[in-house]
Amino acid sequence: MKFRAKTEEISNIEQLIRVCGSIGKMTQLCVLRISEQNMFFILNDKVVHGGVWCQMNPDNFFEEYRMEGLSEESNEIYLEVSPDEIVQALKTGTYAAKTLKVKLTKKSSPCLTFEIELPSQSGRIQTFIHDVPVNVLPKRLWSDYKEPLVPQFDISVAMPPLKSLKSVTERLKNLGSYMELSANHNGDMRMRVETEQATVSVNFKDLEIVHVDNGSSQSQPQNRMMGRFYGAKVDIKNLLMFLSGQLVNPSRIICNIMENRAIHCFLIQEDVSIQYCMPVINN
Amino acid sequence: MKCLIPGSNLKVFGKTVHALSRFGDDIYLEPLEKGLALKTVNSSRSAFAYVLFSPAFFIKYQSRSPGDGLASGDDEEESFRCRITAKSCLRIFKSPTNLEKNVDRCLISLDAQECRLIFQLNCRHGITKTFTDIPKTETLQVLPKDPITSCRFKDSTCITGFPWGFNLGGGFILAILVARALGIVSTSFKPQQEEVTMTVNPTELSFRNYVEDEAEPGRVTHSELKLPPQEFSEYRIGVDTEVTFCLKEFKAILSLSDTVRLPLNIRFETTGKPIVFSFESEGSLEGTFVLATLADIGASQSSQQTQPSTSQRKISGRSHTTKPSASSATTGRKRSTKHADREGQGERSRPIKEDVEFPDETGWHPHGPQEKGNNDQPPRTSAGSPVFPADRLRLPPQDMSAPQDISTPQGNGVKEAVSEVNSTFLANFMGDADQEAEEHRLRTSPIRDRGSGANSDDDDDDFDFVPNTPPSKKFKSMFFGSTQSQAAGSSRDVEENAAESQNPESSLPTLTMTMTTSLPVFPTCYTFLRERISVEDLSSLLYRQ
Repeated sequence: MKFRAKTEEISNIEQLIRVCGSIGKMTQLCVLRISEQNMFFILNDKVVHGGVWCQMNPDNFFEEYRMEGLSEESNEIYLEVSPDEIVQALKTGTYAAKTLKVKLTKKSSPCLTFEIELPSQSGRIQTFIHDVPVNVLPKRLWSDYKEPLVPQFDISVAMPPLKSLKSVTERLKNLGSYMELSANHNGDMRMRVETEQATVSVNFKDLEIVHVDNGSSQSQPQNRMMGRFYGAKVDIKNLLMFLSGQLVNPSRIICNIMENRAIHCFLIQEDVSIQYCMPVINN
Repeated sequence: MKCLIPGSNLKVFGKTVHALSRFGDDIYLEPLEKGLALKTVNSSRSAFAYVLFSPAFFIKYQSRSPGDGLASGDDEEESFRCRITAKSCLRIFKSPTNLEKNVDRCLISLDAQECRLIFQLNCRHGITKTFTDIPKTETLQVLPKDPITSCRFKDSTCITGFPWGFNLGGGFILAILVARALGIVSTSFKPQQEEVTMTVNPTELSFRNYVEDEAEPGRVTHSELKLPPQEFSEYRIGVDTEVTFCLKEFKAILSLSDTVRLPLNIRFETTGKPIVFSFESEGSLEGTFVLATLADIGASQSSQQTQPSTSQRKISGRSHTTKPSASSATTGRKRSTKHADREGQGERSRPIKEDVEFPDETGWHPHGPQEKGNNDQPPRTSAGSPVFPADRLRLPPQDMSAPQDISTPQGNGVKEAVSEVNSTFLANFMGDADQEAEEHRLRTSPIRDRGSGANSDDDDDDFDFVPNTPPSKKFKSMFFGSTQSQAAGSSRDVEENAAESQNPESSLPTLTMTMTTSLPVFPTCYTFLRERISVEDLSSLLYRQ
């Protein structure tokens, strides 16, 4: 197994920090899957944190990208890493890094080595090396980290800007710990918190409804009542974690809701896409 | 004791307080003839900080004022110290950068009889903030004798301000670093990182995070910063070695030396021996910081350290010290292993005290007394050699400007220095003509011509002497760049203006408002006074006119 990547662009390093930081907000430990075309950060947890699937195109992050997987048939590497450690390592380079090299190395334990070259005040080069310990996952565990199947959703809506969502969610958090997130086909999205004393709901209007084209579902929207809300209950903490973690500035966030079963957020940006499957509370 | 700090120097003073507060809980204030010394030692006595502000740093400095009941002994041993909690001090100098902007002057006065330390900040817009301690012995203690016994200087041959009678001994390894090159160190390790290991060899210096004490060293990120020797204005390594010390204090030192923009000297011997950081600006400020280093380094690492390096020694004249270096490193290691055996592996932050109190006579130096003598005072003959002369290191900063023969015995040198300081001190309060003469004398003192050490060369690079510049202005121009130094150079004009501007406003209605907040340590008294501000301060403003 070999992996080596290099970049000389500070903007790339910053973007990498943002992506890893976003992941790090949601989980302490995740799997980094490296394939020839893509890099993925994967968290496979349905119960507590929810599942995370983050796909990155390495061409947008690195000028040089080489990898050699386990074997020719399964040309991939699965590593268990802590995204926070990666952020910590990369942060050294945010000032004025000249180059960033990422390597998979074998020291006392397998490590992802981040080698950052910084020009010093005197114009010479200071080298900072961070060895972030990783676990190499054996092939038999790979199947646990497959791309999640996207089920048939009742509704898909483009969410309002993250900022306003976040400030609303932060306030709702003070009322209760669970929130019902729902949307209808008129383009309304509702966040509702119920307590013994009060029910507070926040409505967002005129949102874009995204029609997912997957053949068989074509006829279904017509059958549904336009005003009906489809929703599911989630832990506000999880939602907030997801919202506040997004240091990337996505062009579009799509929220897929499957009534009482699943809430699935899809962040799309040029060079990275993050899917987050929130655990739903049933009662 | 009474001293008046100009606003432009307040940032440095405030930053010093901040740095010291990261060392220990208490700060010891010590008004000496040669300046105001701030000292602190941490609770486990493994770190010691000492910063001396010489009279030139202040607009006005009186180590003793009549009637404050202080002993009149000239001796440092007999001088008193007072202790204040670092926390209460931090309250006053909360934001050094803002202080610089908002405060014109800061008057610190100490009434030893009443046990009161008063900080008076004269801010813009005629606001005076007065911080007085509650006269409680816990808060402020005027101590007739040094409570930190280990802070007492063993003899005059010790480096000024060194605790524990620390003697650099023979084969000390010396590196002089430009602090800004190390700024990256303080930001690059995890905030919770406790210790760093510094590894040196002639071709490279590196900092690593110390992970040996982690439960699973293999599961922790290892970070390493490599620096080429060219990063340092001086880089001299006797033997390859590595030392591990606390990052928290190191960061504090780096941040302070960054503020004062002085090259940071780093001196150390070997594993388990203290590391000494120091900076010094000619005649206005000097700082010395001693940190304990970890002694329990694994056998694999220490085996490397004993190899004396012979390659790439910058200084040809230094070759004669190579042998002592190697031997001293070996003995040092032996000693640390012994310690480790005796004290058990568990104890990491072994107080330096024990280590350094071994006198040289205990036979740690296998080469006998001759070698020892060599070790103690290696560069005595080396007036022109680039070897950093240890006897110069040991001199207080004022010696630099003292007309002193190099071969003068140490004791005399110190005495002379003191007297010289006195005259400098007086010069501040003399008329202009006298001051000029004094200045001239200082400038033309032989030490300037000697120029043996790289340190003084550096200082020369940093700033040029301007004729007729009083010491305080020298300091400013040195620390605040050329643009600000011009502003500082006209400080007297500013002061005049300030004095004048007091007068027209006297026709304004008087606003006198006193608020007393309930700070636990210092009840703060803000007094808004337009004209009355200055009964005392006007005199200090005008004392030069």
